[in-house]
Amino acid sequence: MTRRLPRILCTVATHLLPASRRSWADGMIAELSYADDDRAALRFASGCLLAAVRERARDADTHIMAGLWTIAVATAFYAVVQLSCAVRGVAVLLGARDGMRDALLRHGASSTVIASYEAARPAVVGCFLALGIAQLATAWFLSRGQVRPFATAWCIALMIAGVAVAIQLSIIPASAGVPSEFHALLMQAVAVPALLVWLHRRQHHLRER
Amino acid sequence: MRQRCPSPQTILVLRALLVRSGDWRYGYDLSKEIGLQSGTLYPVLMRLADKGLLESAWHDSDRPGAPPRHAYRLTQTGVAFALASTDATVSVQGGNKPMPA
Repeated sequence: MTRRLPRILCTVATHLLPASRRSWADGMIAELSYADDDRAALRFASGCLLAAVRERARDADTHIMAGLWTIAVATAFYAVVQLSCAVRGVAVLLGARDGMRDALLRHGASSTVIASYEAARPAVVGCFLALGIAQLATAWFLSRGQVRPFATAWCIALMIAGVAVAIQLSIIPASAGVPSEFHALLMQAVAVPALLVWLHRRQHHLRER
Repeated sequence: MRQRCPSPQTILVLRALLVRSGDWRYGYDLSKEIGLQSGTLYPVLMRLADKGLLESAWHDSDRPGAPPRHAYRLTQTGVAFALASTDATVSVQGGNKPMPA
């Protein structure tokens, strides 16, 4: 056995350790040259890798980025749902069957409601499209840790969602069996800022430790 | 903020560093001496350095061709902390109670 594997393990450990621990990483690699034999070097290098993983797991910045990425992925998922609704809406505008219209008819909606719904359809589809794009932008800025553009995109997304819900509620008052965006919008409006505040507090707590 | 009790591993490291507190020590040698895996030793050393209890420096090797070594030793605060921590551990383990003056 040579020192190649221990060196590889120590190099991986170097990359895993936060930048602030650079000198420790270099110190670990240097110590390999002083190990009694190859077995001892391998054992030492494996330990260094474990230490690097532990340090990475404790790192406050890593926690924050993991949290931001989690919210970003959830927001991106929500954006994809909105965009798929927009695509389905465009298909309906082009003549495909409208499941929502069928649901309204099943729930005994009047012809006036159906007419209003059909008239508002292009605006609703536009809202879904704009909302999907705004939320994708929100997720992108969040994943890059760009707070100001994120806040702007999030406010725009929230306003579009508000308009979409207002249009929907003006045509079809929320009732059992009729789908509404309202609860999803409310959850997003509350959940994203709540998660960000929680992350900020956690970062503060970790830095104090 | 509340000062937490050092872990048994930290006590081991502090004791080892306290033996020759003025001397610079190296990671591999410490690991061998205490019998702690490097995966446990280094996080302890990092924690001690973060708290200002340990100082580190790069030393040239006396072996030709070998790279410089990262060396560690307790700071003055570190020595005081180590003395207090190891004393406290001994008194807890030995069941000793402080004697009235």
